[in-house]
Amino acid sequence: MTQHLRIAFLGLCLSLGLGLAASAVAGELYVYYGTSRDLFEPVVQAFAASRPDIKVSSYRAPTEELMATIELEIRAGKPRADVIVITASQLFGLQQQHKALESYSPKDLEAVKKELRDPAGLLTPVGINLSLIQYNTKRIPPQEAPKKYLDLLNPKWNNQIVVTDPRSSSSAHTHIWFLTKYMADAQGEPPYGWKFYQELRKLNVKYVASHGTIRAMVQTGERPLGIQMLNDAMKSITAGEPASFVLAQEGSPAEITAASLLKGSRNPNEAKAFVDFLLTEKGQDLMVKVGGYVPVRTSTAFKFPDGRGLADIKTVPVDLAYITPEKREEHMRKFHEIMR
Amino acid sequence: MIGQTASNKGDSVRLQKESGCLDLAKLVWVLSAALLVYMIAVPFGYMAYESLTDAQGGATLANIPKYFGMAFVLEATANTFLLSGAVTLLSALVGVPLAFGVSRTDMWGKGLVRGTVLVSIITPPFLRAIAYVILAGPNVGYLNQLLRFLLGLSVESGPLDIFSAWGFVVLSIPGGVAFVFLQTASAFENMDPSLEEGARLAGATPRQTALRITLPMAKHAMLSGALLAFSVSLAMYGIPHILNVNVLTIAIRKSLLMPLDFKAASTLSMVVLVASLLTLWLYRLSVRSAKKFQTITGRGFRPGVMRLGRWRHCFTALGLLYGVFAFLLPYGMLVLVSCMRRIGYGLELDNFTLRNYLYIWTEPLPRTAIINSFILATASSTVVVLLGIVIGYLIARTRVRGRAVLDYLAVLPLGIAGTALAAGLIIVYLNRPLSALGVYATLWILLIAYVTRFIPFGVRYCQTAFMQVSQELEEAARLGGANWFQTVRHILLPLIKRGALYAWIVAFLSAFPEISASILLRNIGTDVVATAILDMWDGTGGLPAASALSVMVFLVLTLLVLLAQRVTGRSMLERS
Repeated sequence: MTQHLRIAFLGLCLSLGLGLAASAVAGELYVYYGTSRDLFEPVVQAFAASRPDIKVSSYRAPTEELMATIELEIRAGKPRADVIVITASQLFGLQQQHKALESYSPKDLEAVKKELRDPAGLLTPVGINLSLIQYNTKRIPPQEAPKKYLDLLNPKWNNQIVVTDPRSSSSAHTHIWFLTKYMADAQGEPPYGWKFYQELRKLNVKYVASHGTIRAMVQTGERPLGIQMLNDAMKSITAGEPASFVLAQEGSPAEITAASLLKGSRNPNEAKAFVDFLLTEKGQDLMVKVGGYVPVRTSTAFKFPDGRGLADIKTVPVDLAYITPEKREEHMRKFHEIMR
Repeated sequence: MIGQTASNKGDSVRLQKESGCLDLAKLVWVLSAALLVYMIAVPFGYMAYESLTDAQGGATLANIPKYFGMAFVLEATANTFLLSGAVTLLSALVGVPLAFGVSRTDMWGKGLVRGTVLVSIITPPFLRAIAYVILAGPNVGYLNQLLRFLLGLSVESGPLDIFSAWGFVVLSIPGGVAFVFLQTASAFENMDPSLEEGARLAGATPRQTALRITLPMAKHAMLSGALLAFSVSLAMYGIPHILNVNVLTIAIRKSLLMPLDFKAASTLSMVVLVASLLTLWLYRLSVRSAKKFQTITGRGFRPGVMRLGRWRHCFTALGLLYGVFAFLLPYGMLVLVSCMRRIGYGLELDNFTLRNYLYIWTEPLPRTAIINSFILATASSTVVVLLGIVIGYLIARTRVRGRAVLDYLAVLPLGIAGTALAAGLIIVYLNRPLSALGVYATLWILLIAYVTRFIPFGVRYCQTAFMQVSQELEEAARLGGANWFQTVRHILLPLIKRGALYAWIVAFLSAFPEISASILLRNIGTDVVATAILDMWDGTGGLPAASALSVMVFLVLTLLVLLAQRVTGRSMLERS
């Protein structure tokens, strides 16, 4: 019995030793991201394939859930992530609250559109995502699809629309900012402002946790109309699902997806290598073809499925300073007061 | 203890001392008991502290009115109790006649009902929820399309809407019915028939006999089944997550999202915990009463089957409804969707494929999740059984002081919502001093959660197994010169082997598809099948891939049950 225990103990020590030795040899990298797995994991894996010396691990959760995990870890003084890839507004909030981000100037920053660069170097833009209206092509012919957000308030769309819940989706705050603040300031309330959501409520709008679920509901036709993000809408098209999208006439809120290094990261060099990769030609090409984003690199080609380029549509940059953590709380509270 | 004389008790103690094993045995007992107390009491003690203190650590009761004054918490609380109440009532209304029909009448389709009860117990409810989203989605759900066609309705939505509070109730009923069925069918089958015979001889009709004699005799069993259904509904997570229904288990998770609020999560968890424990306490009382009732009147022979003529088909129809809506329809739907290329093209012929089954084995997320679930289920059920053997031995075979506390502590997790436990574990293992263990965000924290949740199975089944082994065998071995370890190894363990195996399988069945704790505890590389299915449901891989993984979970669990029945020679439908 004692001998067995001794052997087991030696075996344990040996495997622990081997494990430690193995982890000392290879570099490691922990990536946290908020977008659907099939939109970003292939990008992570492409980096892993290009750097076999680095053991890459990634964790995906809906953005608000991911933020909770990051905050938990920061509070406990045990941040695990080396790089976080989420919306710039969320990263901005993380920096405001915890001073959690590390500044970095990636190799190919000069190739990135000037207006997107962060002078402080805390956020590296890696893709542009747009708010839009997705619809099911089997249930709604293109000519009948809404052309602008206000068209969604037509009573004929009763029980047909799905949106995301700001409690779990970060980009839901982009839609809410655009419709309740930007458009209300530009064209008045009503029809925009929270009044817009009150009218949507009258049409029994449904809210779900993520834009991935919107994609599923639109393609089944259960909710043939959704306020969606470009990357999920593009995935529907490349996957051959019966869905298309409309870039609304009011304009398309352009949300920056950015990568940031976390302060106190255990693998800063690997993290920097990953951020560098995201800005390379190959990285940006993947962000477009797999991720469904608009590229941030000027040299990377991009066209919408209808042949238009980014310059042909009206984009509205998201006001990062407006969507603060306090504003998010207000969004969640007001949204749920209306939807209850 | 029964029949043990003072002298042979003295002999056994002497023998143990002589062999020098007692100290080591005591050490094992103490360590196991300490581990049990640690695993259950620490997270909940910490949460009780969080919920009863303010930000500065001063004692306060202000958290309760503070958080329950918030609209979404208030709504979640009301929903939880109202909906669980509705589930319980309806489960009893369906479960009791079904149990009566199967055990006491000549209804048709008894096999279908038993099969459905088994499937409802062993498979996680969120699989049904996924299937019913496709079946009863208000706009394009297949059942809605069929109903609109059959009833000639010109509306574009409904008449069924699964995304509602009623959706929660309807999808929770199959599980609730199964619990009520298991408790009451056993009571009906073991009932002394002499009172019924007396009633019949006195001129009562079968209907009068059933209503005045049979049903009242089974009322304690019905109550315990209903309480079990209520308790399970209180802790339900998967169904409300998929249907987006605001109940307390969901509110606990949301209060751990932004803004991150430990005090809110703790206070809500404590409310669920108190309600669950109260239900559990009532359940134990009712089970005791039911057993007392049976002991007084039981004679050891089975009551006869009532011949109801064509009226038996009332029970047949109810059984058929239960079988179709709780088993055949949802699992048939999952199989169908798992073979679709894209859910948007529905039943079109060229939309069918088997590639989703390839996908779940080749893609990293489902593959890792399957491996993790196997590791966690195997490890947790093994630890659960090992702890169960030691604690079960302590409770059933010794007079160690405090064993009654262990007995009660070991069933506590039955009434604990997985999300509440997970919230407690996160708070405990992310803060000092236990943060030093580094278990947060690893498979270890999931293992701790699983062992804590399923320890009742290990203790209960092993305790029962020990009680069934006569003390005399042990005594004989010791008197024959065997020391304590030899007695345990060569006499006791072989005799409780079947009970322990049964406990292992029940723990595995519960751990493999675990969702409510895992959804909060998963991190890099620690997804499990349930979180992977939800992730796919949220967009990754889509509904067909999620359905393929669901079908695989269903097959694994069903195969294991069939294997268990063959190996242990014991039906999983026995009331335990």
